[in-house]
Amino acid sequence: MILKHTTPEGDLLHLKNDNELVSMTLKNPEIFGQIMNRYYLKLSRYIYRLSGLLPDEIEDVLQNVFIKAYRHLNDFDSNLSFSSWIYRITHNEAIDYLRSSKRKSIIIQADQDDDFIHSIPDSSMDFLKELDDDLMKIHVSSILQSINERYRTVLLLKYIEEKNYSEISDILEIPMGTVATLIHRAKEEFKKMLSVSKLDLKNK
Amino acid sequence: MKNKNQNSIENKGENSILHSGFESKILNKIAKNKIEPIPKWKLVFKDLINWFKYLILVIIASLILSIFIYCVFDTNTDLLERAGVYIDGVRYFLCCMFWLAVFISMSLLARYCFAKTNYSYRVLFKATHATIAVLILLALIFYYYNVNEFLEKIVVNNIPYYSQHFKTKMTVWSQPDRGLLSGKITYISEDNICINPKNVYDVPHLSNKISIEISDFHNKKWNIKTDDTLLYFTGCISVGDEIRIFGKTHDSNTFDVKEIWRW
Repeated sequence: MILKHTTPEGDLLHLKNDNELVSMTLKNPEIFGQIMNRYYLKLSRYIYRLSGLLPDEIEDVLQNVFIKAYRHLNDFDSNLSFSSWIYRITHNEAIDYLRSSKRKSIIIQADQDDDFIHSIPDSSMDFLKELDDDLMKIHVSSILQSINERYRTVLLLKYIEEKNYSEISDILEIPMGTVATLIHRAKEEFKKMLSVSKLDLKNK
Repeated sequence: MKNKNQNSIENKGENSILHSGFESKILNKIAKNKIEPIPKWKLVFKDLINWFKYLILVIIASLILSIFIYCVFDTNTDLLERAGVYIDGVRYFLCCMFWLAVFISMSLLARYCFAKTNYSYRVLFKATHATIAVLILLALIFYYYNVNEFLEKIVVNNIPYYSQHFKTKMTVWSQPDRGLLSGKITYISEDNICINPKNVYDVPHLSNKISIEISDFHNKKWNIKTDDTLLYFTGCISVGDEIRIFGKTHDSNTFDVKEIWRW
């Protein structure tokens, strides 16, 4: 069941695009509920995959995200996608939350994120097709968690959130060339660590 | 099988009714705390402040680079040695390195301020290259027009350690007892002195005696007496121009000049 907010004019808000909702929110704050409704789940998952925070903590981060987004609505440039803009705020808030609580991202249990492996469409990652057994999936997840934070972030955004280079550039506020370099290096690092894990598994 | 955390998150999200509670909580908080979107003009102003800081830092960094260029290329050691002033190599090197370090710090600060402006990340590499080019160009312009001295005067007058330990152009050329004098021309018995040498090796003499008065950097007045004086400049010098003079003191406010250089 999906909540269907309506404007006084009777328009169905869920049919409006993000930019229209932002303009409407500036006139009527209640409309912001539709934006939250649209992004709540996506952003919760992203925070979880990025940081491994607990649900209550994720909700705390999301509160900060939406309050900050609301306060900075006038800063949103319609030339930028709203999704990228709110992902940027979310990313920064999640990182700040981890830093302020002096924690590193928490290890996510191996079986939780096996969708990551299947969401990597790149042909250079064909070796992942060999990942049939659960044991290997456990290793892949642990690799993901042990990989450098910047690499994990770009892999998440590219292959889980399915963002393109331009969107990743806007979210992380880094040049597109740097995004391409980071993704390339992240894949190399991932492949290297996966090969080592496979060897370890065979030896066992 | 997904663990409790993941299930909890997805259960919370899959039914919008459930997170409508979250929405209400946020909307209530917004209403209760009277949170309002920050006005556009404030956000634009904040961005402009960052641009302003960036531009100011670029200008300051250029000024400092012009001092460094002067420090490296404009030593006049041969002339100073003739006057018995020997530059301490290590100290001089440290002086130049001090300016280089300040220049690097200012440049990094300028880059930081630029990175704080909206959408700078989209053009960061191009902007960095452009900034370096502008820095060098501005520094050369400042060096050409001696603007760097303005900053150096401030440093000399305000940081005693600097003037005591580093030989600056100003301190070196303010030693009349060693035959080195400099200052601004306040009077010249002719309209101006113009030089147009035929080639670079041609150093013109000032055969006729001309009366010149200058005010040195400590505002002391000096009468300059010319006699077969060598003129190491091109173009004209007139009242208001700053010059360096190599010669010897005649009395407490008279100076016999052997060579005149443009400041």
